Amino acid sequence: MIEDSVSLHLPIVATILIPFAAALLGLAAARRSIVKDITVIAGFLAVVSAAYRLVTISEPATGSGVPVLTVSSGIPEIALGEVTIPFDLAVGSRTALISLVVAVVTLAVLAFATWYLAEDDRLGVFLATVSLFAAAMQLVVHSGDLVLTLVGWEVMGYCSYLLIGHWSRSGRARRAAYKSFIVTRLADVGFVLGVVILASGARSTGYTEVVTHWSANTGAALTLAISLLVIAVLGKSAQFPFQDWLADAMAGPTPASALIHAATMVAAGTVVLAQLRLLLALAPAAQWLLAVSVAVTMILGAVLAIGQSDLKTLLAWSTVSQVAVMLAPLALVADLEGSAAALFHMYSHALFKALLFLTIGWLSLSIHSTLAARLQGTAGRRLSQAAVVIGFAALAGLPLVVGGWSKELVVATVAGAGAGARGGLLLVALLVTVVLTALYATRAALILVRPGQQKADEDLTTGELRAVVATRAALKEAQHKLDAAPFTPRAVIVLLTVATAFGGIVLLAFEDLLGVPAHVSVLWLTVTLVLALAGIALAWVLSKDGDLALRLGSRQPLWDQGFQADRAYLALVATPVLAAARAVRALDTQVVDAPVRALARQAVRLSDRAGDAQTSRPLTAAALVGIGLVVLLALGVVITLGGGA
Amino acid sequence: MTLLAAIAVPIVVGLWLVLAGRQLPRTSAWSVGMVAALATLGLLVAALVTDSAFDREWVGVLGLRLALGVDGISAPLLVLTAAIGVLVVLLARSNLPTGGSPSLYLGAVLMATGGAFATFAARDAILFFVAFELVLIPVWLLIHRFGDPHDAAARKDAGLRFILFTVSGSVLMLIGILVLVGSAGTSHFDVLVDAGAALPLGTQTLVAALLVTGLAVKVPVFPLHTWLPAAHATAPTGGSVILAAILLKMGTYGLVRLPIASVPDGFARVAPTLAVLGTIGIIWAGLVCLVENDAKRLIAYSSIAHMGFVVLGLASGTVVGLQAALIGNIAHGVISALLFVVIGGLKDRWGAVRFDAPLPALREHAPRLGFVLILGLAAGLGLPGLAAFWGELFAVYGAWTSGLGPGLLLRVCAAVAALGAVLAAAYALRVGRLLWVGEAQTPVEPTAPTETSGAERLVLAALVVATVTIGLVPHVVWSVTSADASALLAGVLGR
Repeated sequence: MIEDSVSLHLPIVATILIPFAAALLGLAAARRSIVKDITVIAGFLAVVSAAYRLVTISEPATGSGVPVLTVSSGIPEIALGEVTIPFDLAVGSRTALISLVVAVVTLAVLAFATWYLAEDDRLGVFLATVSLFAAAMQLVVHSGDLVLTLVGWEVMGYCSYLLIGHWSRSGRARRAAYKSFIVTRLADVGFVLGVVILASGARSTGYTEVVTHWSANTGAALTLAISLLVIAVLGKSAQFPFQDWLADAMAGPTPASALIHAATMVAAGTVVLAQLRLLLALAPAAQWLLAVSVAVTMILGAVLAIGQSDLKTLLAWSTVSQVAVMLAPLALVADLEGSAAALFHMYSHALFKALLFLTIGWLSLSIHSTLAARLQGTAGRRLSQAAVVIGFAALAGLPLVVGGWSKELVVATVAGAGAGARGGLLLVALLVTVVLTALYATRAALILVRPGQQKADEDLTTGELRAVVATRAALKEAQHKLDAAPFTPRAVIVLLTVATAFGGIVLLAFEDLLGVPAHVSVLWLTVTLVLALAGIALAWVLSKDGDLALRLGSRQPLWDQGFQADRAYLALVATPVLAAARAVRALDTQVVDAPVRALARQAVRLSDRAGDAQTSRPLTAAALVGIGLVVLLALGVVITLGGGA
Repeated sequence: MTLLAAIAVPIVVGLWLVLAGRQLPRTSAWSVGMVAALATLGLLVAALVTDSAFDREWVGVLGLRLALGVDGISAPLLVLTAAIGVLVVLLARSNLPTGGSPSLYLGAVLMATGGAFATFAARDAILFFVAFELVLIPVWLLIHRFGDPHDAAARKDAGLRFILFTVSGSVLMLIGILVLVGSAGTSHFDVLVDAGAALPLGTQTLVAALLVTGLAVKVPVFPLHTWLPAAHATAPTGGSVILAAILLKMGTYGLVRLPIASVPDGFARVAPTLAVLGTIGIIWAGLVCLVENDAKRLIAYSSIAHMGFVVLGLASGTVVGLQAALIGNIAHGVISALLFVVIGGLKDRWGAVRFDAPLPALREHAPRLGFVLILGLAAGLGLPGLAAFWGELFAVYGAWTSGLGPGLLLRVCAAVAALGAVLAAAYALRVGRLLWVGEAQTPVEPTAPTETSGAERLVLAALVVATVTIGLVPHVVWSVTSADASALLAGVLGR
């Protein structure tokens, strides 16, 4: 399209193909230690190529067209009757930015996993799957074609199934992996149908053609298609009513959680909706659907996070809540500014959530638990303390660190979009979420940083909280192991801590990348800061006598069960489907097959009667065939005559 | 001539093995079979390269011609058939079923391959029918003689059922062909395309109904499917592979070649019913798979669901749907062959693969085989990057854009079929849970060495490569089928 399209083209394709190649090579060499070098070096190369692309980007992502510019992926276009699949990739400064974040988080996860899972006999497969996962996400980020997006989207789903179920010797991991795939796959029906409808109108699966066609043909079909896509996004992003799979997914290894939560799977919906923002804006009903779901989800996730007995699950619910925050501007103002706010928060969330997950993984490795009661006071040293404080400050949305900037932008964008019921709903939900988020972030930080109070067992009142208490000896040993952690995990944590601390300011300096001037609203900065401080103060007060979740008393298990959404899934979906399956099987054997079986039985009886089975079986069978032929021929003649008359 | 040779070699060698080769020792019989299968593949490639065709009067009185040719619709199926022929013979090196002499088994395999070759290459409706029927006998032999040695009754039942069903279907198809040929005055496909389309709508509809019903048995389409699980459950691995990858394809190929190409208006009348039945099949078979406990029966039911997508694509009457059906056909052939080799091999080693008792986890005890299984399951649930994705996505597209049927009927079919893909995920990963990672409370040790080896491993490797290749580069199939698929439906679209 433009002269330097080759130089644009190469680093993009490389960013996708390098992790893909690493996945294939890694799988082939899964049992050898070289797999670590292959995947980590490939992860590094992907960062280099994404960074190169970002630095050499020339055009700002302005203008109204989506995407800004497309280049061929190198896959020849397919013309399938009326519809064309161009297999184009989209080029823009935003895609370059998100792609770099994805590459950085992937590299951090790969490097961390080589240490974290060093003893695991399936480390090689794990690293290969992570690489494939990253390739799929890079494909979604760069896609300029609905089919390519769908490919990346589904491959990510399958990779998450494999990663969540990585420790398949545990029944919990097996169930969680199954559940995550089925729940997201159910929502993905929306993606398939949405793609089909959009492509059937545009006669092409290319974003450019699709957007051009549907911008001129709004109406029920577009609303249906976009609503279906929104449903798919709700599924992948673990938004209500699909939210429950993500908490179960904590049965996977922590690096996998970091990858799924920070930069890939759950964030992919934001990327796709930002790419299709022009169409989203033309389908207000779909935006309403998204708005109601994210408003419910951001509060639900935050409330659930407050009461978790397991800090890793707390992070999972915080992801659910934060992704809802990310999607909120798109549900209201699906334009350049709205998507800029969403993508900025995705960028922030990727950095601080990766940091938090890997830090929890680091702290928990030696004590083999992520329970709050066990992790008490484990962040005793300088690095871990810094990581915890900065990470949770970003989550709470305090100014200066990365999450603060983006959360403020989200709130200001939603508030600035004006009145209307949808805007009001989202703004109220966001403000409530700010308080709740600060509350649980403070709770988690206090648990990790405050030295463990030596409490008698009877002081811990509930469920798992009561079951475990970290002994002084275990803590000491844990500290020792932490200090003994080698260079790699420390480097990863340092890198992510620095990125979380300064990532926001850096991005603001290059605000062109997001395509809009990042205006800092003093009013909303103040409001969110006051609300966050209120949440922190509340948490501080409530945590006086130890973990504030203990105050939930005997109701606490409800939080660990995600308010029993799993039961609802079973009762509303799984049980009826299985009952239908049993009924269908009974019908299949007893009704559909019955006449045939009767006929076959008669035939067998005939053939048995016909004499010595040894010698005459083929003959009798042939005779039977002959008889059957005659009968059917007669039948056929009757039908023919009847038809002719 | 090359094409004729590609058909003659497997049939003649197969016949010789069956009739005269019974005394041959195993290795010699295998070598003969392998050489014949490879020669067939080689001849096919030569025929494709030279665009070989053959046309000669055969039975003058009937107007029957020995007309053979290849076009974009049949070429992928011919390649699949030849490749599957080689793989099944190769598999016989390590997994030879009992029940008869090795040469009888290999002869039957070769004859089935040769018959399928003739079916796909026939350019004459009567010849097509003869070839179609020719495949029946060797496949019946495979089920009846070489089926599950532990269960003679099931073998007998499955063999009989297979014959009863397919012969009934064939008779309907024969009547349809006779009516068509009688009223159109020709049996040559090239002429039928115009002659058939010129027939009055009533005749077209009658012919289409007869042909579709007859061929639906072979595909199989709900509710004519109950022979398939029985046949698969009993058949030896090689037989299952031939059933799934070759025999079922003859049904869908017949649908394309006869009703769709010859009597398009009549087919358009029948198509909505076919689409609905195909869609019911997707859901019906998908539900059965959620509770079926016999692994081979489960894969058989999943075949019915996958063929439901193929049928839906065909019934949409769109080029996109037809293209989806053509690639879906090939994809299903490769994927089900892969799954049957995995499950069949396990059944040979373990005695049975049933899900009502705890199973050893393949991931622990046979990681290579486990990898192939989980890849096959992923392909089966339509994962992009693997073969089945393209056919399923665009079958839904075809149904959505179809102008056939009353109101929104085909759009409802499209939506229901898309939901059916969730059932595919649910049952595929159910197998994954039970067999790949293992759901036993206390780990179960396998009773015999489980890891794949020898010829079986080679066969699986080839099938994995094919699954991934078609998934990543659908162009390999679509570039071949594209022109002829559009031309085939030009008449329908032109109206």
